[in-house]
Amino acid sequence: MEMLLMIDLPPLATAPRRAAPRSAPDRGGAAANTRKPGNREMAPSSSRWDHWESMSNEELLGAVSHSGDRAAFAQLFKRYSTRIYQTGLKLTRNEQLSRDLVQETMITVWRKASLFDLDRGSADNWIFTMTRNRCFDLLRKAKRQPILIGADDIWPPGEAVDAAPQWEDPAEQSVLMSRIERLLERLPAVQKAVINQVYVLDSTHEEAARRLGIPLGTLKSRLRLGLDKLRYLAGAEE
Amino acid sequence: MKMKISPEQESQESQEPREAVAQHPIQHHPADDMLESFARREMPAGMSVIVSAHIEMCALCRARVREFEAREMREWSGAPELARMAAHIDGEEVDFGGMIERITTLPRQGAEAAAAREASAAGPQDRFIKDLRLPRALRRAATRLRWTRLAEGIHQAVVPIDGETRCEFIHIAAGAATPAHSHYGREHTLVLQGRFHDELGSYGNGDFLLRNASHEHQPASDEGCLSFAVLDQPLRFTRGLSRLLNPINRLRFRAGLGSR
Repeated sequence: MEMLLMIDLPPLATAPRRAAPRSAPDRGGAAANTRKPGNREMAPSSSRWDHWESMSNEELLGAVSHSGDRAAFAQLFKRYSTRIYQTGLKLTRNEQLSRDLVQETMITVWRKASLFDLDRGSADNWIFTMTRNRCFDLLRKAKRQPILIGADDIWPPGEAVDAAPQWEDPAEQSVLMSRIERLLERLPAVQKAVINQVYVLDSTHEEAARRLGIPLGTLKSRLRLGLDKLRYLAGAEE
Repeated sequence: MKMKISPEQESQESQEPREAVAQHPIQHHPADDMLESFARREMPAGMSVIVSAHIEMCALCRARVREFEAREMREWSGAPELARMAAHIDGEEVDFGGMIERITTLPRQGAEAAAAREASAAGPQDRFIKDLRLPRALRRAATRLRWTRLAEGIHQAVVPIDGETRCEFIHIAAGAATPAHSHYGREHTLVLQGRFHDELGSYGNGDFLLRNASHEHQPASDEGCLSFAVLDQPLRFTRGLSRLLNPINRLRFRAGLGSR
């Protein structure tokens, strides 16, 4: 069922928007390829072409991220554009939107490759998330909805594998945190500020002192007083 | 979309109390089919935002969404073979003109710039949202809230997220109660801070609940409560003087939907 759908797609996909008739059946794949600007760029050296061909998606994304490598990007484009286009057709049933989706997704890949974090999942996963996020926003734009909150805020790319750490706690931790937050409210503002810097924002003592514009010694004494007070309040509550 | 806990989640909670996720204090979760349509990006943005915020707070639902996403992912990863076959049959690939050339002239974003943007979007200095780290999906929404007083101790701030749902932050001051009301449509509520109760139960941090037209309720809070709500139709106040609020509320509803 799914297979049939996929195989049915190419006639739609290859219909060019330009008027020039070009998809005569006698033209070979190679001829079609040379017309693609990305390939032309890499054409001079076939060994260089092989080099990119043999690289993993992650390595290619890394090359785009580090040096803005166009050949690596062209290779990613080659590997993903058809898949993105087909995902678009499946989700939007609209050729123009699907073409826009390829453009928007690949723009994101080009511009935000530096945000890709290998520790958080595969390039495949990242590009898939981007594809679906761009598609969600494209459909909203088509409906003229406000995009105050974008799809990347709702489905953060790269967080598909692990979780956002600040809520990742088991039961006690979470109960404890909300209790601590409540107790913090009862501390003097200066003590609350240092605890917030060190324990909530996870700053080092030096950073925290610099941000708050106080000497390191002052920070440490406020921290100690604040924690003592917090312990006292927690004890009194029990 | 049914309300409350799906049978699967309920049984997980009762049968596996040792699991860290099952011990999570969050008691009320989106139904399983809601998590699935979230993963498939099939819901309006407003609904997606509230589910996203819940799963950031709830390890149980997050794991469930990951399962649905993995299913989609397998489909996507299986696609290149099919795409190659399809391209082969037709004899050429999809033509995207000079797209690569156009894209590679665009400036790229450095990791630092992205991080800076992220930091600037965090930490709203808001009247009712102070020192609270909101779930990511809500952070941008909370930067410029305009709170309106709905009743004594009750404030709401509407956020224009899409044209299909009404989304708002609701703050109930300690000891305050909202006027009794029911809903024309469905109201989904996520507790972000504090706790509130109504006739059907008590809800704390991370709890996700659904009220529909059949529930008349009167939420109140002893310790104060901040929540985020998404509803597909306006509230209908049902009792006494608070009926007077009805026309005003409907006006606010339209204003909330219309504003960009």
